[in-house]
Amino acid sequence: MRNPYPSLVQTLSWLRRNRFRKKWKLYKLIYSVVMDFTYGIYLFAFLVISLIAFKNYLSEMQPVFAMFQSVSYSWFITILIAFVIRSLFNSTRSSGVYITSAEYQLTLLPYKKEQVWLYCLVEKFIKITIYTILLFLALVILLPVHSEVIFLLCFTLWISNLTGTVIEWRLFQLGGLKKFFCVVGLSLLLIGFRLVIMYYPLPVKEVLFSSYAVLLVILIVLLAFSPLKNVDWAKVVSFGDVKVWNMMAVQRITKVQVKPPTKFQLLNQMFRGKRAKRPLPYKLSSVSVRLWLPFFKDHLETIFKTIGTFLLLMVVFGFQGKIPLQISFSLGIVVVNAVISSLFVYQFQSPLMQVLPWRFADWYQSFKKWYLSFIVLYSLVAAAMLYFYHYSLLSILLNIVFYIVWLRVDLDLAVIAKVKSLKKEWETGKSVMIRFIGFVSVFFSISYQWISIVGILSLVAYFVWKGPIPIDNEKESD
Amino acid sequence: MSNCLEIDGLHLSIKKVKILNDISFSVPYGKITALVGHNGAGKSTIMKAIMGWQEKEDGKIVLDGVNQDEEFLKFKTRFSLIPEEPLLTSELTVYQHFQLYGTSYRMDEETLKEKVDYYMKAFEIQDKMNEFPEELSKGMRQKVQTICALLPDVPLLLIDEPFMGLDIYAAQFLIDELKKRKEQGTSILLTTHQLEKVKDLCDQYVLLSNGSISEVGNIDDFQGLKRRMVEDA
Repeated sequence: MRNPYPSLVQTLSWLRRNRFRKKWKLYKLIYSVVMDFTYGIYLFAFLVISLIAFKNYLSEMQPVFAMFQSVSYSWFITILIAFVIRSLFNSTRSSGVYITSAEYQLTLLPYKKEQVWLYCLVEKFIKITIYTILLFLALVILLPVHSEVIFLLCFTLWISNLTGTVIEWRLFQLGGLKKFFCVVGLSLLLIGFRLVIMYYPLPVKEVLFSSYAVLLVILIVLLAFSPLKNVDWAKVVSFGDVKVWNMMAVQRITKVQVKPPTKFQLLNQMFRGKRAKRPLPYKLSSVSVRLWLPFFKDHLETIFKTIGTFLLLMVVFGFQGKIPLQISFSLGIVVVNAVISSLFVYQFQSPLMQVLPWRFADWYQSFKKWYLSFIVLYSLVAAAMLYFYHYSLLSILLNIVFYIVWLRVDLDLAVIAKVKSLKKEWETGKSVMIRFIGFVSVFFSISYQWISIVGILSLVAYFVWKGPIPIDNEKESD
Repeated sequence: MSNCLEIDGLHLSIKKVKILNDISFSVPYGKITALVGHNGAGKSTIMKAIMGWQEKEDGKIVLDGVNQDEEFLKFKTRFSLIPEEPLLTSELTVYQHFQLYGTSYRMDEETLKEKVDYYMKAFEIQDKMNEFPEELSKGMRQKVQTICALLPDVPLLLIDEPFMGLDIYAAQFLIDELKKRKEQGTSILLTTHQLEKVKDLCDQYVLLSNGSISEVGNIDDFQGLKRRMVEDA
């Protein structure tokens, strides 16, 4: 019986044509919003003139390009390695070979999955080749460089892109920590290889051509040995849809982002293995550690802004003189702890926390583990600033120890204040006074070292006598 | 003290819109009370006010002798909730969720394990202990959430639409479990649209209409209640 279905090539070509028409319609719509026909003509003319001016400018840089030509082989090795490393990291969010839900649905019809995949792979290779040829032509026209050098550059890009595609495909199939170690391990190996070439008198040309051969062998091996084994097609299709329909201009103008589902993202996958599924130690502080990670991921922008503000304060103010330095040290602690304590209590506004009893002390214990990273950052920046002002190592050490202890105490007090406001209680004058004394002490500790010593001794004595500051009254919650 | 939950003069507005107007009722120990009414009557808002999720303008809520305004942290240890939609986080497996609830309610680890085994078998999901919520079907997630709420021994159990997403076997088990808890002295406050299912379970009802209480009565007058709800529509 005659097969009623058209050939795979015909079907996929039809798919591509329809996809192109859809995208073209979208782009037309977007650009008609952003610019009109007259503006478009002027923009085009401007681009052409700019290109001509750019070419003239480049031709004046003949000596620079002549110098580049003399060391081009070394540069090409670097480019090759950089592109391979780029593919390694890209494998966390790109499958290399893009198969969208449209192509995948063809496998429900009598089209083989392997053939669909092969078609998409060959299509990608052809695209890479065409883009490389166009790049070659553009560079030959624009750059005052020998065409042989440009050819070698384009060949380097071409072969690293081809191999990179297959590397991405194979690494994309790995999960979680395995992928992480492969990506990081191979990247370090390649960087090490580059450093070896830099420091040892190896024949660069031969190394470059050998690298091409090695990449070709890697490409053949990765393609030959079961490229479609253990493939998570749901994941491949999710990322494929994002890649193919991720039209940057449309996203920028409409502000609608296209993202793959969270469950497929690398960070998520790293913490989903067998180890993550084991029962946790039966303590709320151990269970709650897990719940801080997604919370911080949701508030990354706030965290980055806070760190940015802190660094600006410490570094920019810090270089203006001793008084601004003192202000930056003390204000930096207050600003960051204000944000961090707000973040802590904000966790209790989530729907899950609304139905659970609030055990602030336990949640705070797990939260403090994450705060350690800020203590390290503060210590490093403060030490660097004090070193810049020629303080002795002993002074720096004393001050840093004081700041570390005070950071913790100030955070405890800031969190207590926020917890009290959550319970609709007022902050006591005592804690406000203690924070103010701490603020002033940090301010003057830079000029008067004895304040740091007194500060450390007082705080240590307090903790030895009274123990850690209680975040909430445990009896209240029983 | 015969009332587990006492709500007196509860007023609540959201963005200057009056949602609850002078709500006063009580739930005795060992009784099941149904909060009934049409969509938008204020049933879920009362639940949220009890949990402290929604800030009230005025009124007093006392649970097991603990005033919500005076001892809020202690108040939160006195109830547990079965929500309409599961509140599970993708960061924890099923068993880790139980651990979260167990540690939050200060349950003994052995007691937690016994109860988990019992409920997982009863709901027929004992092989899902180490799965993440996204690896479960919607019905299974609701079962897990129900178990989480049933684990602690609390004076008040709040239930928002008790049978949503549960199969008939799970729903029947839940009915039997609620009856057992009632006999042990636990009070239950539930909201529901499925009056037929709860009429044999509940002792009393509170009929809400446009944020106010229309009537409070014995569930024996079930047919009359149904008629009045239809008339209110």
